[in-house]
Amino acid sequence: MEHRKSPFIHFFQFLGKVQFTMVLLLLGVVVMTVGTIIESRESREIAQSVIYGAFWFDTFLFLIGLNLVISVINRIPIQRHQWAFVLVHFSIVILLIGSWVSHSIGYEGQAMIYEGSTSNQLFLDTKQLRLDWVGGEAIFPIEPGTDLTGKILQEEEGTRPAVRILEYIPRGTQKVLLGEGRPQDPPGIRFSITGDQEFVNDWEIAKGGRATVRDVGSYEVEVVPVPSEAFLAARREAKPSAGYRVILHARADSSPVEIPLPEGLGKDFQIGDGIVAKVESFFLNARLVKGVLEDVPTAAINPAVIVEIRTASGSERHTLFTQFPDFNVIHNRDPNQKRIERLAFVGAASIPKTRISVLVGPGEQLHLQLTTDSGIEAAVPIAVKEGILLQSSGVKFELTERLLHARSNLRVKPVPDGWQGGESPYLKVELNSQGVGESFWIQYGSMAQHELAGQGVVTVFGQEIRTLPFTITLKEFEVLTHPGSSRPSEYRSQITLTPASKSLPPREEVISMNRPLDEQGFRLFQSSYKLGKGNEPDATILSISHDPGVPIVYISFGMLVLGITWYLRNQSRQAMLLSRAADRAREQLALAGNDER
Amino acid sequence: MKKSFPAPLHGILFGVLLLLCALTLALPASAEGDKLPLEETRDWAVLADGRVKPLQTFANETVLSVVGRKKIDGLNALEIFWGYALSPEDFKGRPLIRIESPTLKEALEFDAGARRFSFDDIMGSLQFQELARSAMDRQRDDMDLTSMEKDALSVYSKATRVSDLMRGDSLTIIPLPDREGNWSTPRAIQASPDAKTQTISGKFAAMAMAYNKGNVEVFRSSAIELRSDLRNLNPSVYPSETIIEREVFYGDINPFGKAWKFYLVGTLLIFLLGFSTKRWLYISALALLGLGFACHTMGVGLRWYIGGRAPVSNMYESLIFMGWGIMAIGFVQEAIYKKRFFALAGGLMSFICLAFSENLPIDSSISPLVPVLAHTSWLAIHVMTIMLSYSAFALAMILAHFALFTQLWRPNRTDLVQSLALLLYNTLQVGLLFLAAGIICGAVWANESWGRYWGWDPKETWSLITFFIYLAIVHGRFAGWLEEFGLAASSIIGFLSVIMTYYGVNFILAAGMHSYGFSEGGQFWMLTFTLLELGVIAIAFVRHRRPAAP
Repeated sequence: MEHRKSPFIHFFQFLGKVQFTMVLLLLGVVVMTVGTIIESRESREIAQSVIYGAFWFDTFLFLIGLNLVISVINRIPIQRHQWAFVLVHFSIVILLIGSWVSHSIGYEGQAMIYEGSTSNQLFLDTKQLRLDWVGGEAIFPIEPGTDLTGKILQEEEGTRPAVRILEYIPRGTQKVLLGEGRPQDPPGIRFSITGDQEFVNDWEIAKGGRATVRDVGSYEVEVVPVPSEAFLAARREAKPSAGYRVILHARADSSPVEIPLPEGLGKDFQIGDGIVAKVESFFLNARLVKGVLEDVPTAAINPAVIVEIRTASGSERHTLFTQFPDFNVIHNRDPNQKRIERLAFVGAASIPKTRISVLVGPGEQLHLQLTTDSGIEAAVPIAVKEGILLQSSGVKFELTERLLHARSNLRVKPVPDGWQGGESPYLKVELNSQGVGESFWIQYGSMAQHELAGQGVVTVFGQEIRTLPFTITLKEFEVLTHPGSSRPSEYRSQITLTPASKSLPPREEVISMNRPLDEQGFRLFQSSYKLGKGNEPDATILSISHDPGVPIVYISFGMLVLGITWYLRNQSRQAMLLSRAADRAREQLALAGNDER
Repeated sequence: MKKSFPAPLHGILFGVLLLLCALTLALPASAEGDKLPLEETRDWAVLADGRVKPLQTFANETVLSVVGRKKIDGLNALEIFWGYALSPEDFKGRPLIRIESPTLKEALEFDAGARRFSFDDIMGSLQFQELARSAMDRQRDDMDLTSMEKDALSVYSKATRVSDLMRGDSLTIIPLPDREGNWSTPRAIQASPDAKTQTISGKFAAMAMAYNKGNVEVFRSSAIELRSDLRNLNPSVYPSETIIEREVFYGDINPFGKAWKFYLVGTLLIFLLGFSTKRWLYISALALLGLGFACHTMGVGLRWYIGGRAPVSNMYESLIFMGWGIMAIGFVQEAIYKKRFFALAGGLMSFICLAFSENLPIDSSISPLVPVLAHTSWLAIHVMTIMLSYSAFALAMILAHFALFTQLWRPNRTDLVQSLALLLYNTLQVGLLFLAAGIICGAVWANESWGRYWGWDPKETWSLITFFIYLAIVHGRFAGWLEEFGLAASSIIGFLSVIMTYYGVNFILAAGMHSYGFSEGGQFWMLTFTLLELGVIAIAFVRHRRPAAP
């Protein structure tokens, strides 16, 4: 019968041959190497979607399984010594089945819970679009890698609006442009800042009557609508800042002497027996230019002082920066043991950037006010197309246009491959209800509200949410540290877990790193945490997974280790016998050689 | 015909090797009568970096990180440590802080020929302050640092260690008798109302004064009194004398430093004697390797005991454990096959691992675990299994070199090549078993700790790539496509993949994203090594295809 095999049987048998195994293994090596390079150069998500999550990769894994199964079939009837082979190869088939179960049925997500609050929601990594309208709601999964352009998600029916995706950009950035607004919109300005290192054209709107702040290089710009004359009058007064001071301790036990700045500049201060200190110079924007400290007004704020300390035996000079408390304490080589224990330079509540406030109104009036490190300057009148020099720095601020009512328009563009930073998925959605249409961009993780024919529609583009069969209340989240250091030793969430079914009582539990909690087929892990006010953690982030594939995979692990050990035992025995036999043969040869000699 | 050295040469060689061995192991004798008995303080306990340790260990770590070695200019670690702590006025002017980068020295206008500089030189330099300030700013803003900025930050951290010591802030030797188990410094408790701590403060001041006046007797007596006072202040948090003694012992005997020298000599002995049939030479070489292995094992055991956890938590410890695994597997295989290749290969590769771990600038301190790794025995199980698989593959890689070199220089010794290939193949299979088990342990740990047993993380993926490569080798051998040359060449290539998994994933793939210490140099050496190995394989391949004329 052997010689009359059909080509199909031939092909089937080839699928189980070691030749095919080699092709698959080497292909796997190449593909995975490329995958890790992509991950390192681009990002984890791209590597996942291009390689590991792609359809052809699943096919590849399926072919490995096929190869293993047929390799076993090809050996039927199985001899006694082949059972180790069968065990090893079948265990990998079971491993593949288990991971397929995990992949298709299992899911995992995150739950962020604040201290004292309760949640039963699990946020998955999959994206979805949710719509709420009067009388209904709908959820649409947004799967990456599929073409969504022009896809109709639902037709209009009654109060239900028609929903269509106009465009989907998986990785895009937005640009917000200034445009003329409607009468209810707040005022806006266009401006330019030009000078030593700044060349900026930008715009800003006062949102909802409240000022917002725009970062422009080393400046901040805000538009402040003026509600009343009294407000403006108050703004026309200058307020000097609290100032800087140098603090000196002559001894650890003596009380410190403070030299206020700039008032104390150049004056002598007695700081203990025969020690006199004087602040020689004070730089607000200190920079080292050719080895010498200079005040460079255009540079970022970096306060520094040069302090001279005189004793009977001589004098010395020290440069101190507010940013370097560590540098300031090392002192001094006085032979009379009149040491200065500590010398520190403390800044006022320093402002990292100069703030430019444009005060709009009432009426046609415009004022400009500066808030710098040395205090709030008085507001001065400014007109459109008029430049104003800021401080003595030579930087010019010009108000190029004033809009009585301004609104911002969103433009979204896909980012080029390899770009990193600030990109996010965007959807352009079109809603239609009773002849009224609205189309808009919505960023992943945001929400939009629209009026369609007098009825509100809320659109949310976010993560898929699932409800857990239990609720979690966070009593406390703690970061424990190793004694005497700030190195964390443990992240720990103390929770109360309340099963949804009334028959089960609530339980107190602790979840920490490497100590997960199992509950109704879900496994809860300590994943991360969120810092709240005062840099104290106030919320825990738990990772929750539901994976029915795990038992199958664990069984395959056991089989695999058992199988390889068994296989290896057979092989080692063979190798040892071979090696001994070869030795014996060589010894005999050597003996024969000696005899000849 | 077997070629071996004439008998008298054996004796001479052996003698020379023994002498060499004795020279490297001999401890330099120290005897000076009027020196301050600083060693009275070495078994005090200090709380540093989250762990209570002997003062000797802390001094060693501090001095090693600042100076770059434990001894310099006749000063040992304790002398430098107490010098900075008790006599800062003197020591801050001494050139002890290491600056490696020539570009940094140039930027600071320092003497390019000098290797170490004083605290005053460094902190008094405005250029340095400016550079460190901008580097810190950039680091805070998560910007990429230039190599000079990284160097400046590293020098800054050394100087900070020194200034902490001079100020007495890092001298946390006093276990406060409070409930929280806090520790404090002599400087901080000066104003304490507690009578007990007041006494300690007074004795410490007396000791400091005796130090500066060179008064040996007062120093000794106050140091001895302080030792028992400190222990009695809060005995519940103070480590037992045994623990302290063991750690001081560990630091003194430097087990790994000894082990690699034993390995070197033992390996040279087997190698230089050209596989001589002399049994006593073989036994003595094995004994040397065994002695090295005993030191090695003791070192691993002591680290385990001191840290209270398996010593496999960082690059240094894993490298040492890999070396241990190589020698252990080598001995087991040697016992089974009695082939000498295993002793030779094991000794050689284990020596390489230890020589790297002891001489490369990697952190060797015993530090507490980060939360992700703590409170679980999976770390020990997973890393040890994986490292054992790397050990087996390393052993196989050395055997593969033996096989290739034999083919190159002794093309007619096919019996040797065949027997090497057999042993090599067997070792590969052992490695494959450990690798499979190690990956599985990792998967189980990941599932227990993060809820997913596989996530295509680069480290995971590369371990799978390595697994696939060795699987391909085993299947290729099974199908009969890989004869001796192919097996040897492919197991060298397989080991390149092991290096990529072990080292490359952290330091080469991630180079663009994380600013690790010495990634650039590492890349260069890894590339050089890869090219060298590929060169060896290529030459052997050419020779293999055209066998040399007899």
